[in-house]
Amino acid sequence: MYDFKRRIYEVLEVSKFGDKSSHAYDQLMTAAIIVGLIPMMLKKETTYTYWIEILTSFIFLTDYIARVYTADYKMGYKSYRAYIAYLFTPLAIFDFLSILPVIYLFTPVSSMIGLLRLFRIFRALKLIRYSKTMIIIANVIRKVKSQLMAVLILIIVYIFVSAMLIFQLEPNLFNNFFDALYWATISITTIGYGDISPVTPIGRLITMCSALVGVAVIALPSGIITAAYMTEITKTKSKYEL
Amino acid sequence: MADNNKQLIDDSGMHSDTQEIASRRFVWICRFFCIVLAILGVAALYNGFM
Repeated sequence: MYDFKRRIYEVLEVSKFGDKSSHAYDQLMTAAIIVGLIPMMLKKETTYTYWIEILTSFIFLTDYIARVYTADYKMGYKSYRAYIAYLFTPLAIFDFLSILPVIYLFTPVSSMIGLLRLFRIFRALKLIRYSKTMIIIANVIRKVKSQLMAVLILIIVYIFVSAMLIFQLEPNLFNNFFDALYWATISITTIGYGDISPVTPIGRLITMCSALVGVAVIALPSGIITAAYMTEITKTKSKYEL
Repeated sequence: MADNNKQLIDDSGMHSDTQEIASRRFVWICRFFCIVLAILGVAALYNGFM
């Protein structure tokens, strides 16, 4: 007997060459993701945006239910644990967060429910699934996760240290420690809005150090990702050449 | 004979006319929703920016 559930799984997954149904589904999902983001670009709600919300929410909800239904195929083992494990995978979490704005359509407007509308931005992350390049980048980031985490910790520690130093040296400049953290982040990333600027020589010295360290430290993640990406591309190329 | 049994092999390897028809219908439903979404998207953008 033909396995209907397996076929649903095949359609949901990125299409293989010649699978027209799966290819059409991928196109529909891509269209729904792109069109579903349009209401976020507009200031006011119109009839069109309302219907876009209804239609895209319905598509995403159906997609989520179908993906949970076929989770055992996705996870590779038939057990109730496959369904639970699937719910906690990154893409399943993005899927869940992207369907949360549905609540906004059916409940009275309140500030908390209104915040759920911001979760529509998670729909953009669903595109990862349908792009081969995005899959490569996601794999690359997964591989260099520990290095990136080390750099992130280094940046956070440096931001905190410089914020604490400047907060102690120039207390009149900041209302609270959060302002000092904001200043440190803006300085280390070399953005430098200039809304908070030090006036004492020692404060300016710390700013100069932050800017110089920022150039070196902020460039590190891009270097790590580029190196890993090039390795991945070379691997993919050599696989096809063999 | 292979020609007489009217069995078609579709993209997933399944064998039957019913499944082939269901597959075609699914493709057309997807295309229909794609077109509806595209029209709504263009209309919303036009209405929002103009």
